[in-house]
Amino acid sequence: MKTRWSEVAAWRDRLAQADLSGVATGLSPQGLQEAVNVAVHALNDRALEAVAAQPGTPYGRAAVVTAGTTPTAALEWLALLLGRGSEVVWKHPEAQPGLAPLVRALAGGLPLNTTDDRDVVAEANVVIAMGSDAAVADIRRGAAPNAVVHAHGHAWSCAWITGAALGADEAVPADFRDPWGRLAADAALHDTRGCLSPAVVFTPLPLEQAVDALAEAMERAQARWPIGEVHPGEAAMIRARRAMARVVGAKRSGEGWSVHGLTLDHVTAHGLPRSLAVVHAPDAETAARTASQWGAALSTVGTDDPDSAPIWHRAGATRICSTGRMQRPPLDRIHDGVRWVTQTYRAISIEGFTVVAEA
Amino acid sequence: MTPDLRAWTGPDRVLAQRIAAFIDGSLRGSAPENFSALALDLHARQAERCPVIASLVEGPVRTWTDIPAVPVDLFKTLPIGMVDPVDAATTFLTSGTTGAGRGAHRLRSTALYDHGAVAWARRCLAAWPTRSVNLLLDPSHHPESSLSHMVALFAEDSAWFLGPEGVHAAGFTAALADRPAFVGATAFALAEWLEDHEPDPLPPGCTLMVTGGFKGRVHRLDADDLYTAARRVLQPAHLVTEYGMTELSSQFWASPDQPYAPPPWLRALAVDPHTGAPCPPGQPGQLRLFDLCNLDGSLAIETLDEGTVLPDGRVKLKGRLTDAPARGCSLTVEEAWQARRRT
Repeated sequence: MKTRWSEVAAWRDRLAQADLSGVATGLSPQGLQEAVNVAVHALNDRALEAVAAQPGTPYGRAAVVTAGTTPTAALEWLALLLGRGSEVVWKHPEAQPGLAPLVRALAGGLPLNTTDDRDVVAEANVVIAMGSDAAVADIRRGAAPNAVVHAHGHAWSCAWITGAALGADEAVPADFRDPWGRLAADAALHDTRGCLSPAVVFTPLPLEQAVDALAEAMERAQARWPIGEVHPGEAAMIRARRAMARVVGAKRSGEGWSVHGLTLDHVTAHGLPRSLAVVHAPDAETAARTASQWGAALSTVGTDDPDSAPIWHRAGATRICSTGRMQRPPLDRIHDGVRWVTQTYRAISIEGFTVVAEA
Repeated sequence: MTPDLRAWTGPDRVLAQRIAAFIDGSLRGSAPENFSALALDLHARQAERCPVIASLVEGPVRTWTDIPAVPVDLFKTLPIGMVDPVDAATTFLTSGTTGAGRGAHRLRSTALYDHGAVAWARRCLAAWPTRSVNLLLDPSHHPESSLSHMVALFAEDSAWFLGPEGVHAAGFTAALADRPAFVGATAFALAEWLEDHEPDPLPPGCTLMVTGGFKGRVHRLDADDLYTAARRVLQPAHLVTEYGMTELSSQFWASPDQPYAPPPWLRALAVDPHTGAPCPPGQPGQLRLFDLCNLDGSLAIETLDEGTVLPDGRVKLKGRLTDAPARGCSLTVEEAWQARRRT
């Protein structure tokens, strides 16, 4: 099967230059542009070359099914599947095609189709399913019996912030490289939706100090990347958490953002758009123990305390990174506990044979 | 029947007496006092006794719509109401399948709850049952289920055919026999029964009650489809729907094509979910419920449901707010059902 890495690179470059006005994703125009910039940056030449060098056989036909929460989540999957040589169909949410029409229009000769018809998964050799656990289970039922289904269901992420300064990182926007700015930039991308977004911030700092510092950074982030659409249920949940903070902690808010200082007993792992729950924990062990009790899969922990990595790993986190990088990950990484790029091709292991020379 | 209010003492007994009088009087068409006056006094007492409710007061409370409503999510981790856990004679719990804890509604007595629930159900049901056969949890094994508690009030002769693993179809069918009954079911239990057990029509004269929400974590039932299937297959003499919550002490009743009717001691207010400000009349919004019967809990509850409040106080319920997490007594059944479909 013919690989198409150069065509993928050209498609990426067209996407980087694309006019995104008129693309309805629920994000603000600035928020969408930043999300696309980040996605395109991850598909840089060096990263694509490294992935292309991995041995493996492409699937004939692939289906990528995405949720509406992170409009650019499909791009890296599409790039790698197309680059390997697979035919790809992107099944986007029915009510929200988002970037799909534009991405399809820019695809040139790449064998990429887009649709809102869930039945396309029945024709695929490999299905990449993203979304809620319910949606993923439904997709799995619709796949062909012999298809390979890679499911990426509900997961959540959190941050552990001690206030330590981190080294320079070109991937983090220049004026958001302070400890709290990095976190606000993480929260701003995709409006805090998606499994890599910080839902809860643990800190050993005094709660009021942390809440104030994060509030200032959230205000900066709102000015740079204004929030997009907030759904009624999300808004109601934000007000409910505000009420909780009023009872047990501290609350700060501005247009489009809120920070709620809570206690360990009163916080839940529920990501809400541009709304962060901050919790004082005396140490990373306590924070990690709390996080591990919430049941849902812990994906990413963003932190300025690399020494805490083993603690978070024991708590179930599958990716630990510096703040500012939570939603700006490298292309080849562990995602949901697996090296996801390997799910874009068919690997094989041939073992246990002894070659006997014919007499 | 006059409720036994001895569980309450002092000013709480006085409030209980006023609430009981409001229930009886309002059903006769002559409430002894204004809803707002009683609501304000009840709120003042709850704010005095419950630090959580007190801390939610942000401005002057001049009328019932000013009373701060406790978001249902807070019940999961905060003590709401006037009853310490050790003093609770009854504790109703919300469905606990999210891993985020279960909301608790603690009562010193169910006397007011029972009095109001029976009185309003008698008003709303076309025929008062002499027995009930239910696709609901058995309240003797699940005293935390407010729904089962309510249905158990309707008839002494009652039977229960729902467990954590789902519907007990054989026993349920046998218990129905050929006599009229009140048949209570959550939406997902009814859907399972219809889909998986090919039931016969109900005996003549049965009232079928559907409750519990249609939006699950795994899939969403279409209410109209379910009602149509129920009418076609089960042919109940009466099909009614009920809307209640663990955190409440009173219930809305309706028929499938009608808005939900609250009793006179329960009012709804639609608010903008983004701001909490009341919606203009006739516009849908997030529902806040004000239940005078909630003496021991919180008079005012903020739901995550969406609806339109009509001028006569009835509510056109639209379901969960977009992107609000699912909850309700249907979920346990839904998950058990879904688990079996996967195997």
